[in-house]
Amino acid sequence: MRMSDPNPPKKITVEKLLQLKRSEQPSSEFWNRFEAELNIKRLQALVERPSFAERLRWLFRKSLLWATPIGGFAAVSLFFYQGQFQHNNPAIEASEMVAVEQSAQASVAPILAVQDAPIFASQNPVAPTVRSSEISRFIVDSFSSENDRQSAHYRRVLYTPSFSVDRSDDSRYVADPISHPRHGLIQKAGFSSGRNF
Amino acid sequence: MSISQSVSVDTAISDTPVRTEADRDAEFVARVQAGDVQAFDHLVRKYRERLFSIVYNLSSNREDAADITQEVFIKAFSSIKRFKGNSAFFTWLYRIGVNTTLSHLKKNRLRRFFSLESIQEDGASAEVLEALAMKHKTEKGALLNELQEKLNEALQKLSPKHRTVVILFEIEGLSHLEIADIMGCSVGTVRSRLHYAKQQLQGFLQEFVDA
Repeated sequence: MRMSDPNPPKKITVEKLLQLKRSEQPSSEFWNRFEAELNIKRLQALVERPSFAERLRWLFRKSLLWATPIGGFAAVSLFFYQGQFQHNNPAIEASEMVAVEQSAQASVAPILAVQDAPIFASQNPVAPTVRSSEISRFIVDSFSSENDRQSAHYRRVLYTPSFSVDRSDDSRYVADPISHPRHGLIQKAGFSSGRNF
Repeated sequence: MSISQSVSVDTAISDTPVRTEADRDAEFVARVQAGDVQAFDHLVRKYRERLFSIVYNLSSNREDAADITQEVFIKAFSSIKRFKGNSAFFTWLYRIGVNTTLSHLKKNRLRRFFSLESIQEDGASAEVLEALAMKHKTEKGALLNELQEKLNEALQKLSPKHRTVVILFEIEGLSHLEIADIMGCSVGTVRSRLHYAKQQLQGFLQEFVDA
């Protein structure tokens, strides 16, 4: 008959190995130093108050916690409110469409209108000599007016300094082309000396 | 045994109600909140070893652990007026400790090195070391160094959350509920993390562990 071992080798488990870590403890000198350092740090913490910038930063961070979701909610609400408002208000849609139409018209029409139509110098008898290849023009304003008697479209055209004119002292030129349903295009031209566009 | 279970009874007066560690801590906390700075020293002396152990085992660096433990006590001291007593003081303190250590590790994840405490050969560890030395037929001193390095390496291979659960349960002896309170998760999560972490450790330490 086989005798059983009175001291069988203990089974080593992960738990037992981890319990070894409980024995990793620092010496008493370590704790003396630890306590002295901690006392100094605690006194510093008692004496030192956070600077104004730090407190401001802390407040800002705190407020961000609330401001971000509230701001996001407000933006989303505004977006939906605007959508709802426009949906229920056809007048706004109509006016927006007119504005779009006018600007689309303005981006193409003035160049042809200015070049094709004769310049009607109503206020200034000296008309500029235009070298069309060098002209750069911009629409600065465009609007229409309608009443009982007439309907008219107005465009304000800005010529850039590259615009060549005979009068060397005039560096800027402004024209107000007016198109009229009955009279066609009326070009009001004039020099604006010294104006800075 | 978990801290909350370790109940101290005043035997001198038999009708004195049972006071738990948490109750005693609450008294000291109230004194600190009332302005008694010395009362905080008592709490420091009571918890410094355990707190240091958590931080040290999480970081595997004794110098960092000392600094972080001090930082945790300073944080606790600075914010003790905000401690409402909804949980035990040690749970609150350990929570600050775990969070501070994990954020330190995150910040310094590229600059990591071990610096280990020496293992004191007390009863339990001596028994394990004896068994391991017999099994590996090596000298105990050499085995101890190797085992300590391997243990720390294995712990550091775990994710911070798994490592925290293992340390709090297996090394610090806290209950699942206490760990859940410290980590802000459910008891079920603690259990599953512990199970997974032990499986991982079993693999990492298979040369030392009996199948």
